[in-house]
Amino acid sequence: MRKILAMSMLFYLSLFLAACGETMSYQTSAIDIVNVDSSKSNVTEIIYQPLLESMYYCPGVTLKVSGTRVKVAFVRCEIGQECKVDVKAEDLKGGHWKVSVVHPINEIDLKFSDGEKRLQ
Amino acid sequence: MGNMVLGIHSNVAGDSKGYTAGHAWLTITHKGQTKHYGLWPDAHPKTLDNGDGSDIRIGLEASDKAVASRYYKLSDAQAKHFNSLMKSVVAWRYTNTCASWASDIVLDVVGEDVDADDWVGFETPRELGKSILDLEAKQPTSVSSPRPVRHNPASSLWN
Repeated sequence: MRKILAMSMLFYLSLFLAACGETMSYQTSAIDIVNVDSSKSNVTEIIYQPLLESMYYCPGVTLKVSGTRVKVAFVRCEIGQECKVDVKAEDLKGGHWKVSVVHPINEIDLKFSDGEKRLQ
Repeated sequence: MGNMVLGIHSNVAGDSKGYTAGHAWLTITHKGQTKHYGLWPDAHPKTLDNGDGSDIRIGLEASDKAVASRYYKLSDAQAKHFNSLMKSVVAWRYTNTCASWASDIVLDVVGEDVDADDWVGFETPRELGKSILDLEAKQPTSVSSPRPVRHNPASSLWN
């Protein structure tokens, strides 16, 4: 009986996830910014470690320009789905991933499901 | 095989975390070396799709940080039983998640119930993490000071 209830719950959960899969983003605490390199002109390389999850993965980031700022959101994608990203993450192994954003560091805001913070 | 320490871990704990968030896994520490074991679906990009092969994967959590961990010293018989369980063919499913599997292995090998049951019986890393923290509050453990060997139930969940 418990398994049937779990399956029902998962069915509705999967509908919910399918409906919002492309826009899911991580909480601030789920992304560890490991290093930021802004030594290249107008390019900011962000090395990060997302929370390890067996039901989700992070394929990269979306970018949204707002005035003079660019909002960088880490995409949280459900397994088995392909989620749209503007910058695909490069696997550096060891749990670390890298995205290169073609904007200077002082224009970048990191956008999370629970708030935003300036990268610099 | 002596002096093997079994660890159970979760990188999320408590209801403030998402229902399906995070991951749970096991470790074996022996002679200063730690090996990581987790149950992962074939659909995850971190894995290679091995079809009907076992979804027990080794080493994928090596760089991750647990927020809740609990450790058990294993007798030789328990260590042997653990090793045989790791060779079993186990499939990840929504009703047999990483948290279900980790919880079941610890119950089977050392006899402690590290509960992972969340709403409607779905087993989650966040509930497993909460249970680990509750158990640790009563009887703290660490990899260098694991819970002593108690008994070897050697039940037959996978036999």
